[in-house]
Amino acid sequence: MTPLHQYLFLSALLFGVGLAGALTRRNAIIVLIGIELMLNAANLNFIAFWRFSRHPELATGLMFVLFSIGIAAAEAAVGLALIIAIYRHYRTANLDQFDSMKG
Amino acid sequence: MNLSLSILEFAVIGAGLAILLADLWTPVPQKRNLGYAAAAAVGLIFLASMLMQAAAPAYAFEKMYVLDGLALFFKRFFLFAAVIVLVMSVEFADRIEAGIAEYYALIMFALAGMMFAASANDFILVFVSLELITVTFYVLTSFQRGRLHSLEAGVKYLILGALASAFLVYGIALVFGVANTTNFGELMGSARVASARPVFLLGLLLVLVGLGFKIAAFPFQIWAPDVYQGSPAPTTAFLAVGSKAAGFILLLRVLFSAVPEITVNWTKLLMVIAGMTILYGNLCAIPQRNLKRLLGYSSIAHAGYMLLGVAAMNSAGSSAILYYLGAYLFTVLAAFTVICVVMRGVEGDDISAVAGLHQRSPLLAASLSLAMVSLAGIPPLAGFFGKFLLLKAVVEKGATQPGCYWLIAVAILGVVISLYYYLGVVRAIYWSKGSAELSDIKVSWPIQVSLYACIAAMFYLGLFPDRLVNIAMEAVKALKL
Amino acid sequence: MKLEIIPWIILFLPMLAAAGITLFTLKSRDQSARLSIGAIVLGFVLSVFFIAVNGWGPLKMESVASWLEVGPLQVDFGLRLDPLSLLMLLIVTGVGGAIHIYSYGYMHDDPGAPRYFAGLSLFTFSMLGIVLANNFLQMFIFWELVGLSSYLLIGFWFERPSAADASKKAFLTNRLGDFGFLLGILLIWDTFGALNFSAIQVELIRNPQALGALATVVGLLVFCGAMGKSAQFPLHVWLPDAMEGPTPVSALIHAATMVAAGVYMLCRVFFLLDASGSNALEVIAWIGGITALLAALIAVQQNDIKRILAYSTLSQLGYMVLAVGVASPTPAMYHLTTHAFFKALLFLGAGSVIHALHHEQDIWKMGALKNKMPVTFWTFLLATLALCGVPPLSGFFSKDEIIAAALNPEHGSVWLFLLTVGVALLTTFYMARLVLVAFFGSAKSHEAGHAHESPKVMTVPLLALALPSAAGGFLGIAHLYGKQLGQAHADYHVLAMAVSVGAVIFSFAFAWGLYWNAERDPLPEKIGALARAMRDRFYFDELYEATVIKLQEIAAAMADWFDQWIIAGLAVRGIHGTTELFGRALRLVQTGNLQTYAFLFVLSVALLLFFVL
Repeated sequence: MTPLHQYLFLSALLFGVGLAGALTRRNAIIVLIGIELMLNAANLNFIAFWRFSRHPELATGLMFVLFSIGIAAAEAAVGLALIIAIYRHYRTANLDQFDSMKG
Repeated sequence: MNLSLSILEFAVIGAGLAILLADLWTPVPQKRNLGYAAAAAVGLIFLASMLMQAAAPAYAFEKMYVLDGLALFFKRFFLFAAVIVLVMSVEFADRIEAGIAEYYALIMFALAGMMFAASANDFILVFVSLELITVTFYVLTSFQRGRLHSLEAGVKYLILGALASAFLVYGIALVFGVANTTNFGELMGSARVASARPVFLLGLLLVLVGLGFKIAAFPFQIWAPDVYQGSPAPTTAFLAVGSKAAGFILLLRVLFSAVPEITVNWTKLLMVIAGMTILYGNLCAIPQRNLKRLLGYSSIAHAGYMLLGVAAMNSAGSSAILYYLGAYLFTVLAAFTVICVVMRGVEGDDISAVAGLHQRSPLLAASLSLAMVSLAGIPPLAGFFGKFLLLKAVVEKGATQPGCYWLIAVAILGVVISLYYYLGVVRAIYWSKGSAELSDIKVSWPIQVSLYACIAAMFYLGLFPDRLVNIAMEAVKALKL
Repeated sequence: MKLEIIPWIILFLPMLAAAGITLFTLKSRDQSARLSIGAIVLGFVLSVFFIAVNGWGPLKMESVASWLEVGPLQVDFGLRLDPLSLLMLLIVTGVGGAIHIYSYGYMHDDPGAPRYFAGLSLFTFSMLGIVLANNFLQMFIFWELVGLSSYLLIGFWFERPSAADASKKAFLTNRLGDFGFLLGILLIWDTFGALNFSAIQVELIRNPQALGALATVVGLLVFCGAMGKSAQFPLHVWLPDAMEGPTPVSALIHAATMVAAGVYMLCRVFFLLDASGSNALEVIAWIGGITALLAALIAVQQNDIKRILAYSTLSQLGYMVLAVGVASPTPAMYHLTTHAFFKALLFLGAGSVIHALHHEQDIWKMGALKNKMPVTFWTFLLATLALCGVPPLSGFFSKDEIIAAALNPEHGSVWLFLLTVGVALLTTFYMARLVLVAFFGSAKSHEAGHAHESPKVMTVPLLALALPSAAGGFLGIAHLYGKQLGQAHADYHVLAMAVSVGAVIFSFAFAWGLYWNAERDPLPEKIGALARAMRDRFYFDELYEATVIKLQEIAAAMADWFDQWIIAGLAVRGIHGTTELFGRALRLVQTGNLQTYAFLFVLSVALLLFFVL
């Protein structure tokens, strides 16, 4: 079986990729996808920790991941709706366009 | 499983759904009045909460959910805040193009999230309740879909909020990985062992990042001014009071009920964060001309003051936070209610819009002035005693931690700086020159009632603080201090 | 009826008046004035009655109602009734009452009069609260209320930018001091676990080392509060600006109330300042001395009648603080009392002049008012003589005690003594200048030529205040204070008397020589005429001109410059400027760009992890 540290490594990588995407890309949708990747990295961690724990019969990890997936879906839905609304006004989804409030 | 413990939350959710349903059969001109129904329903639930007792902590949902004095205190707090915010929303209704009933319902769902947060005894519930609040607020901030500022506030809150959530979840995963549990009660047993593991500390710090974002603590405060400025006024009010308080109850629970052994090592960190938050909020507020943005910065500063109570790490500090939140509730809600009424048709929320307010409506002028005076911490209003108790808690800590005296100096410096901009607002109110509009403002009776209630509470809490302080002291016994 | 209830009534009457005016009579000027004046006059009558029935003491009565019980903290809302507070009660209600009545005439034509009277009553209530408080917390709350109500009164003509700025400055400067005070209170609470004055005193007698190393710090922090309220260097900047308020307000703030609060508080908690191991008194003495000298020097150069009086107040407050600093609270309170009488009288007299001259405040546009406004002139002259310390007027006795105290070997020093003498010289000089220029000689403006005496409602309070200003030395006030605060040192009195009388004569001669002639003719002409007529005198004048006056002018100019640039400029405006600068710099962080925000967010997370792990 694949050892725990490999899962953790993959998860950290996924988190890093997501974070890099969220920070470097200008398009709001890609930024959102980057953040979803970060959430999934956390989910992967949870599943791995749960699978390798001394008490896998306690479903805590699994439960958390189910909640997490559900919430991520809600977040994505609201986020996409918001981005569509904003696209209608600005005709762009580039985040650096939205800086009318500052200072 | 003991569902009856969370009856208040279910009642709120039920009422929210009922509003959504009623919306279907309500004729369009009557829709805004659904807000009064919502406020009445939440008010009834608030009264019901007064009948509840929590002598000993009771648990539900596999000990994820706890009902103790602390939880009950915050539930009442959130319920009362929601009543005033709902009344404010009705006033705001004509500035929202469509779906006002949904706006009411969303406020109630966010309220349910806050109430769950008050009872969180497990990282799972921390996460779920926090996301219920945050995701609802994404919608609430961007609800004025025709206003670019509102949309911009929404997208800023969305991206940064989601980023903070990602850190929070990753942190929880790491904590779970080391300690094998997400329950606060079990964590407390294993935290001593786990505290030697850097991964555990890393996880906890990431959780703190998520919570720090909620309360807008330095250095995670950067979203607050923009979002406060752009959002509809009732949303901003609820964000300033409800969302911030939810962040604080979660912070208190995590720090002092899940991992108190580790928290004591972080005194210096918390002190630095508190000091920086106070300075940042107050300094940035000085040049502001936009009233909502100014209050955004001021709310950062107030989060800093409350962090003083966290950094003090004694029951005096924590109870002072509770008292401070109580005082802050009435003060901020009074201010935003006035803004909500006055800023009708004013784009930019500039301070000049309140110029000559004392001639247009003495009640509004008095409420806003008193709110500013209370925020500035001048007796005999509520804000003074809150700061007094917080500073006292830090002084008590000073015996063992000499750095505390510096922190106090910073806090006092912050208070003095804050006078500049608070008095600036007061001066604008009584300075009628240069105000284009001097017509009388009609104030509807529900708004009048809530303003009078806020003013009375500001005075009551300032003159007779002992009742609330004693309640707060009783409530924080739930924490391991 | 129990006698105990009377002080409570006295305290709350003005508050009821203020509430009544705001709630009901904002439309009616007369009713508002009646409420406000009625409350304070009734308060005065009740105070007299209470003292007549109850006597001054040795009673140490505290009338207490439980106010707060917050966990370990018990705070009472109590009234402390001892000679110190009872005398202050009489001063506040008596002098304040005269000012209230006078205001009725002075504010006759102002449309905002009801608001004015509400502010006046609120102010009186707060001041009585400070005087009667039996614990630190209660005192602090009223302390802040005084600050708040003075903000309302100084900024009464808020449509004037200068008035609005002055009120803000007064409030901010006061709060700066108040926070030191608050910190001191917190430390005291932490050390003693109590806030009640007598409880702390008892504890301190039982265990003199209770404060340990903190003794000096606590003393100085508490003094911070007094520095703000009593306008001590370097927090004195607000007081001259506070002249922007209506003149009766200046009288109220400068004579009976606000500025007295600081000195009163120092005397009230004198046992703390004097605690063993504390060096606070030394600092207090010197700050008082510096304030006295600086303010007197500045007063010499002023031309605005109210500003001269304002700086004079500053200088006299410095005297009182100096007296506290040389461990002589009795002379401090004594001078505070007599000063309340004659300074209120001076301000009301100035107000009468200003009123008659249609708001002209420059003394060089007055002149020859002696015969046109006889009541104002004679009372003003009397108050001036009292302030200068001419025997047997009240100021003579109290000032003399301070000068003597400065020499006492235990706490005083020769330097402090010389300081007090110097200030006495200057005081006579600038007051003589003021009287000579404003009341004698010829009328120097159209308004001054057509001035008339003010109405009865304004002159009667003048006469009422003239009585205690003159006879204040024979009322046994010092003895009463002495019973509680310890009698003043009996040594050196003869020396002090001789010195202070000498100072009056010496200074007055100079002022006479300079200003008696100066106001009749233009200055250069006068010198020419003198040169021809009396060479010798001219020689003295020239010498005086060249040395004393020049030096004095330079010193005054320097002091003024110091005040304007170093204190007001660098310290106050500098702090303001730096905070503004920080605020503006931090704005740059808030770019409004979402990606910058996200980047900063992640950077912060990284830094946090780096520092903690």
